[in-house]
Amino acid sequence: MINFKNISKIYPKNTVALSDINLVIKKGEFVSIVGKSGAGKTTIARLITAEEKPTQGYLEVLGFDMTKIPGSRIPELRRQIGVVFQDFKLLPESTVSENVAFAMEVCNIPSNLIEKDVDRLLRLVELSSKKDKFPDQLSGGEKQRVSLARALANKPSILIADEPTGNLDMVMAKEIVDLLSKVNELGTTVILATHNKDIVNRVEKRVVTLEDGKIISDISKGRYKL
Amino acid sequence: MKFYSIKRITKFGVVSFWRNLWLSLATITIITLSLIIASSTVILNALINTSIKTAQDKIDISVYFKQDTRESKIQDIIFELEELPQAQSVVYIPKQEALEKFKQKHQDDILILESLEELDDNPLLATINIKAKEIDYYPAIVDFLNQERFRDYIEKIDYNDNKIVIDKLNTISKSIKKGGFLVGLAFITISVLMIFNTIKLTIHSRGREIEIMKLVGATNWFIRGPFIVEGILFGLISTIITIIILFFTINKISPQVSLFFTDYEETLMGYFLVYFWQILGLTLLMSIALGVVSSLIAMRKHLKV
Ligand SMILES: Nc1ncnc2c1ncn2[C@@H]1O[C@H](COP(=O)(O)OP(=O)(O)OP(=O)(O)O)[C@@H](O)[C@H]1O
Ligand SMILES: [Mg+2]
Repeated sequence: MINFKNISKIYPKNTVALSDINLVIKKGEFVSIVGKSGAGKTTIARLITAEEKPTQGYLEVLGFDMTKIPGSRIPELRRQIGVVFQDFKLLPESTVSENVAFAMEVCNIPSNLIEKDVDRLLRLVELSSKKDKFPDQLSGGEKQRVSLARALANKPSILIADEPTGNLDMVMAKEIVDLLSKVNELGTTVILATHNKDIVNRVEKRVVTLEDGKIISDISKGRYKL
Repeated sequence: MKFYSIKRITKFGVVSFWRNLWLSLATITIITLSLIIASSTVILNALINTSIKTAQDKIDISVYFKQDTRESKIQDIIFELEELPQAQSVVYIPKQEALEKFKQKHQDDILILESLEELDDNPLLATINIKAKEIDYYPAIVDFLNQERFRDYIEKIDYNDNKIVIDKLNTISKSIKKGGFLVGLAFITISVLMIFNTIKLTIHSRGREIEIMKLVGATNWFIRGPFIVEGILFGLISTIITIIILFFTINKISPQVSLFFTDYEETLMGYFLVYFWQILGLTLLMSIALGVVSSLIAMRKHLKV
C-alpha cells in the first residue's frame, strides 16, 4: 500500500529531512511514527500525500509512483487519504461544518448525503454544538478534532494523523486514539505521527522510530523508547 | 465534470462575488467604462461613415441644355460623356420626361398646373445627370463640359459640390477612429490589469485557503471555477449597465446629433436599435472575455501546490 525505498528528502538550503528511508506499510496496519521534534515525521506524511516530492529513491502510494505522479492525478490520490494536519489546515472563512463538508464537496458527493455525514462526523468528535463556529472561535484541541472529522469524511483508505493529540488533555487524547483504533479496526490503514509516549504505549501496535531523518527502530507491538 | 461540481462552483463564485463586493464593484466600473468607450466609438464611426456615403451619393453634375438644342446634338454629347473614363453613369432626362416629372411633383398645386397649360411650349430644359466613378473625378468632367465647343448647346452646368462636407466628415471620422481606438485600448488595458490584480490580490490573500483546498483533494478546476464564474458575473453586470447607459445617453443626444447631420436620415437612436443585438453580443463577448481571461492568467501561478 505504501512503499518507501531508499527515500531521501532534502529541503532547499540543504536541510536533510529524511535520508535513506525504507518502510513498507501494508493495508490495514496501524503504524505509529515517533521521534523528536524535527526528526522528519511530518515530512513522511507530506511525501505520502504528494505535498512534497522525494529527492531520491522510489515511493509508491496506493499504486501511484510518487516520483512520477502527474499533477492532474494528485486530487484522486488525496481523496483516498485523510489527513489530520499538525497545523489543522482549516479554511479560515468557513464554519466547522463547512470545513468538513468541503472535503466531500470536492469529491462530487450529493449535498443531502453530505449534510447527514457532516452531522454524524461532528457527533463522533463531540463538536456538534460548535458546528456553526469559525476556526478562529475554536480552541486548539477543537480545531484538531475538526481536522480529524474532515480527514474521516471520505472514508479514506489511509488515515494520517500528524500529532493529533498535541493540543488535547489526556482524557480527550485517549478518546481520540481509541477512535483511531476503531477506524483502523474497520479496515483503514492508520499512520500516527507523535512524540507522545503515553499515546503510543496505549496503542500497542507497530512503532517506527525516527532520529535525524533515519529509521533507528521498527518494532511490531512496540513501545515508545528514547 | 459532474453536475454537482458545476453547481457548487457556481455557488462558490457567487459567494466570493458578494464577499468582496467593493472590489467587484470597482472592477465592474472599469469594465463598464471600457465598454462604453469602445461601443460609442463603433457607433459614432458607423454613423459618420453612413453620412459620408449619403453625401457622396448626392454629388452629381447636372447639365441643362438650351431650349433649341437639337436632340441629335444632345445624343452626341451623351455619347462623348459615356466614353469618358471618369464617368460612372450618364442619365438623360428629355424635355418631355422633365415636364412629366415636374407635373407629378406639383400635382396638388392647381395654380402651377394651370399656368403650365397656358404655355404652348414645354418650358423645361432637357437635362443629363452625370455621376463620376470617384469624387476626385468631378472637376475633370466639369472641365470637359466647359469646353468652347459645347458653349452653344449648354445653358448651365450645376455641380453640386459636397466635397467640403465630405472632407470634413472624413477628417472627423479619422480622428474619432484614432481617438476612440487609443482611449478604448487604454481602458481595456486598465481593466485587464485591474481584474488581474483583483484576482491576484484575492488569490494571494487566499493562497493558504487554496493550498488547503488542494490538500483535501480539490482539482485545479474546482478552485479555478469560482473565479471564472466571478469573471462571467463581472461581464454580465457590466454589459447590462453599459447597454442601459448607452440607451439613455443616445436617447438624450440623438435629436441633436441628427440635427447636426441634418441632411441625412439616419439617427443615432435608429442606428443603436438596428444594431442592438450585435452591440449587445459584442459587448457581452468582450466583457466576459475580459473577465475570464484575466482571471485565468492570474490563477496560473498559484495552482502548483
Ligand atoms: N518546508 C521546509 N523547508 C525547509 N526545511 C524544512 C521544511 N519542512 C521541514 N523542514 C526541516 O526538515 C526537518 C524535518 O521536519 P519535520 O517537519 O518532518 O519534523 P517533525 O518530525 O514533524 O517535527 P515535529 O515533531 O516538530 O512536528 C526539520 O529539520 C525541519 O526544519
Ligand atoms: Mg511534524
